[in-house]
Amino acid sequence: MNDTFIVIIAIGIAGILMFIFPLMTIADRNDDITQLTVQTDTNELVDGIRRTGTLTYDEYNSFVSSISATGNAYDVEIQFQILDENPSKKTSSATNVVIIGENVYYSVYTTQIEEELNNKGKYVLKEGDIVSVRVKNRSKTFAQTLRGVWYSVMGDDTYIIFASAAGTVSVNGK
Amino acid sequence: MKIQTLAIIFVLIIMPISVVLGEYSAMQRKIFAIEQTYDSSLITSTDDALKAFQINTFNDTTTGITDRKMNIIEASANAFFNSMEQCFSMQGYSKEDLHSYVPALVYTMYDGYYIYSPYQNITEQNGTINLGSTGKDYGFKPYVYYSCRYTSGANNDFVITYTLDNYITIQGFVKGAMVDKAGYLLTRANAKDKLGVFIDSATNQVYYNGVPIEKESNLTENLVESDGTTIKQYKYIKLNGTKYYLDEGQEKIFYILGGDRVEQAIKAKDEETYAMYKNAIENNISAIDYYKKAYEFTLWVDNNLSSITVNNAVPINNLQDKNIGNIFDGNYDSPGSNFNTHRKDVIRYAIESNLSIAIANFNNYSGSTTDFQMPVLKETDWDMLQNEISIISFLQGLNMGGKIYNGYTVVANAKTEEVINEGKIYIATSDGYYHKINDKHLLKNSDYMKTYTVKDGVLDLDFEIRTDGATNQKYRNRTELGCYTSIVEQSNVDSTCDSIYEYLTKHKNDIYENALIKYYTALGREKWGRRFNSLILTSLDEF
Repeated sequence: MNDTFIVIIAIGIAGILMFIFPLMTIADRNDDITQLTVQTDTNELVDGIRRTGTLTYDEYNSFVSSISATGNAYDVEIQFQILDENPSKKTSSATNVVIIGENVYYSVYTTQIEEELNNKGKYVLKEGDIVSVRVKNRSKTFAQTLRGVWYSVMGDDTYIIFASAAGTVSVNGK
Repeated sequence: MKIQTLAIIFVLIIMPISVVLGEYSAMQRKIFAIEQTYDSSLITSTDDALKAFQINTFNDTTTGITDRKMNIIEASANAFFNSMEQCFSMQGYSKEDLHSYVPALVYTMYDGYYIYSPYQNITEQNGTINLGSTGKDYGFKPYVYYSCRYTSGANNDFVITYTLDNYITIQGFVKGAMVDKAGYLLTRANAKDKLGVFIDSATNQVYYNGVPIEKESNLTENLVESDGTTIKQYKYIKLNGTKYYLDEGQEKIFYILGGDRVEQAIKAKDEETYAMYKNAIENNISAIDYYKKAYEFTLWVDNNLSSITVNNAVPINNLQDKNIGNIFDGNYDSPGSNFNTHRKDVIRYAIESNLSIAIANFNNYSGSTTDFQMPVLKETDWDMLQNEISIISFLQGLNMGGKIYNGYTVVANAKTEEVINEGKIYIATSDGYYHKINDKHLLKNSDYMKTYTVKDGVLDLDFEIRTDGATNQKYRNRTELGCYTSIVEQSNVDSTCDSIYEYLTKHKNDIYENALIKYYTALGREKWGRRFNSLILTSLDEF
């Protein structure tokens, strides 16, 4: 009886060591690779917007398709900070040189940007605008699922793949 | 063998593989992070170089002069390396170290470019050039023009220098005669309502794309007075890159040099010259001159070079688009015309050929084991280089721990008076705002145009904040503010066309006519008023 119990325990441990452990290791490495891929794509997207001053519907779709090809679902958050130089140009009178304000930025967010892309096919920015993109996985990766089974500590809103990039637009978009 | 033993053996095999794979992927992530840091450092440094270039050119009225421009570019290159030193100080690289990893810094200009890279033909203290020197120095190599040689038969052997717009210079033998000509190319129209330039021989009225071009009599802008607190409006004209202002109170003409007002003509001393300038300012025909002279120059080109094709280019093999037909086929305005396709091709080849040599030669100077080669530039970068004055920086050979860094960045200089293209002319309206020409507010059927009127067409830079050199006060040449829906946010501009040219030709009949007149007049005025190097010198006699 005692031997049987030990054998069962041993088989259990062996199963964990032979299957679960390698599986977790490979799943972790897979997440590492996914992280690199998503970060590269995010950088390329931001760099493209920064260089051309334009985000097109096709570019955005291509980016979303590319990161989705990693097998996970992602939340993409885009923020454009639009430069408003007018406050710094306003003067108290037409003949006075006193400058009363500084440059300000106001932000547009993902839904507004997506709406513009759907309606017009592109979002045009100008020199000085700031673009920032954040991507995080919405669905659990295989590694997260495995860890969730073991540790039961994974909350619904926890992410493991995260990429972000930002830059200042260097040209007026066309 | 017991299953436990098998499991242990399995783990012993898997564990090192897992650890190695883990380390490898960790290293890849580390390399990637370093690469990102280097990328952003390069972008930051190039942006700093551009800012230094912009600040110096923007507030300096003498930047069109070649010597002055060289000083400014050298200062910009210095700013680049200073910024690089700051960015890379944490990695332990000094400014001198970084020189060994920057094979070239390129400043593309209106009609050519400078390459900043090391050279060995060092000038000694006594002024002689030591061609056999083993030392090296960093500096700018001679200016390279965007030029291409063409030969056709025994009578045609000439060089055309292209620019970032429709201005070309032709030098050499054309039909057996020595030629040295320069001018703007514009499509010639055969009727006033057709696309292109048309001159009505009966009335001498100039039309462009069906729009009459106007004489301007009230072109004014703001200047800071010497007390440093008040701003005054002056009428002006821009000739060869210099703005001449009319001071009606003191009856003199002046221009600004290094922040100081320099008197060009005083009525009490030279009434004739003063009257000539005053007349030119109050009856500004720069725009008319631009279209008329372009028409004449284009007529000559059409009559003499219409048979030239890419096959006549030397060396043809290096040009990409060889089958575009006749280069000077009469269509010059469209971005996709044979002329513009070939022009961009020549610019690309001119940059690519010299730059790849400069970078390859860097192997002789760097002392690094890296094999320096020119990276492949993205098409979007080429598009930028073919349309805007830009800076390209290269950084190669830095060790990232398992990989060698090879990066470049391109930044465009949008704040320049050298390149005047369709997107740089804005329309000022009576409500105190300025708009892009493709703003839907400027359409005939918009309510906006029923309430407000079009004042004039203005170069975008005239709305920028400037610093008065004498009083150090901030001011703007024009006080209008950017329209929130077309300049700041750009939500109300047309998005169906790929270029302003396409928009203007497609929606010619939809745009408020006065806006079009002011727009094309301003475009012609600004192109005609820019500084020319060897080229057209506008004479006051023409006014």
